[in-house]
Amino acid sequence: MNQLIRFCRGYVRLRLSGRMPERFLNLCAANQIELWDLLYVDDSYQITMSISDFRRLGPLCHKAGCRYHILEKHGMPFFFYNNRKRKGFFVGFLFFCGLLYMMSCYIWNIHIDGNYANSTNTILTFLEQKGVYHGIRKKGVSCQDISAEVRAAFPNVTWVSTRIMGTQLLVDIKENVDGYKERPKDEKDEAPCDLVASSEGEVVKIITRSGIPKVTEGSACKKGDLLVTGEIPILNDAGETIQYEYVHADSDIFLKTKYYYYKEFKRKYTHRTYSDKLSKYPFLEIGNIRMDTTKLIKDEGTSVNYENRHQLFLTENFALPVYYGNTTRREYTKSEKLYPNETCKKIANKQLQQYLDGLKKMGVQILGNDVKIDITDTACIAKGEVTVVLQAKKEIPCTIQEASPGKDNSLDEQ
Amino acid sequence: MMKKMNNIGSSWLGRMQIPPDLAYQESVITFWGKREVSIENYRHILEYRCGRIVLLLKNGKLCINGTNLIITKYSQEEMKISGQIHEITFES
Repeated sequence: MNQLIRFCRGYVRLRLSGRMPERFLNLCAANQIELWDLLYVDDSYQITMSISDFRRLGPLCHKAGCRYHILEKHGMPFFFYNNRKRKGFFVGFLFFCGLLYMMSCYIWNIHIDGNYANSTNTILTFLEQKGVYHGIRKKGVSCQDISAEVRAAFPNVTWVSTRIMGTQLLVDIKENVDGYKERPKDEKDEAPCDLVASSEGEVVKIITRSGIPKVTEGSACKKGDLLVTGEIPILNDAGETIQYEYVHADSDIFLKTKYYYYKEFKRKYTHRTYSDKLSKYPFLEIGNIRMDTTKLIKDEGTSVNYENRHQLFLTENFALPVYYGNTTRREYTKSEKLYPNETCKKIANKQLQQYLDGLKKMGVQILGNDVKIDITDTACIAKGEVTVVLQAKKEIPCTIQEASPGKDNSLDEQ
Repeated sequence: MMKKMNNIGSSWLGRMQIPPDLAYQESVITFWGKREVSIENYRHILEYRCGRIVLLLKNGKLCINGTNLIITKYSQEEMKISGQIHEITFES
């Protein structure tokens, strides 16, 4: 740092000789003239001092009976003086200073810290949607607004601090790490409704919470059959329906049903034999313009390309639309082959297992299956039935009717 | 009488726990091995030759003998000498 200051202020190296050089040195110290790199060479002294101190040397040299000779000149003032005729250089220097000042008025990097659940890209994309992007003017950035918007957009963010440091926008985030989530309020539909079967099957189990069940365990039903009604008759002492009360029917109804499974695939397939030889071709992509060396090589359609792609970043998160990398090409030869019987069975079983796993994910209980695999010369066919237990109910609104007093209702007893 | 006054003064400064370099304007000499030495609170240079530097302190002289002695920093408060230092002696 000290050397940088000396360079900016400029300094000279002198050779000093005379009658009383020690006195000269003491006079310098007494007059607050700072010297450095004093060296005794051949009955003379070499000293270094700043330009401003050098200008005060005359009377001291006269007093001590010394003479000096300038050996070297260093520093910024001498550099400017030597290059004073190079006007283009100074114009360039001024332009550089102006450019540096202008560039320092913009945000060139957005640094996000403390985020674990929300990725940096997600937050950067959100900020971009809100008009905060790399290259925005500092004056257009409101740190308070950014903090408030991030808090509002990401519910698991508990604290946000935004500040501008240099040309960097620093966003510090604290996320909710204890896993607490605000529960959404339960909005139950309380409108009166009936429950009907959404598929045909046999009722295995029924648990009714509200409404009157119309089926019992073991009874068969078709698609659209009424399972639970939301219409509850109110009876008088004579057993007559005086009015109906309508409720939102709620029940767990499990139906046993069968799904038909059919899957077929061809035994013939194209086998690729890859060669060990890999060829790499570099490419450069600027915006929509792509310079690719693979286009120079003829592609016969028997090769696969793997692209290793990198994006150019100006700062930590300031991505430029410039991509570079290389394309690795691997040649292969095609041949027609048949799956052997064992492989066919494996593939068919795997497909069936994937189908059953898909059903399980939907909450369907699988009781069994009688799927058989037939392998012919050209294809492999898996077909059969899968027995499942599932909740197959559908809500439909009740048809509201007025009860006529004195009329018996067959539903009363139920 | 003067000696007695000095003794009283030094005992009083000792009790006040004032550092000796401030209290008595003693020179502070700091070594960095045989390569470098820093001297504070000196009066002035008496002699400077290639292998010998003599400084005047408050209570005598300080002679530094060595080879390639360079005064890397020289101001009224502090002097820093570097080179190959062989010997440092105090002379009254």
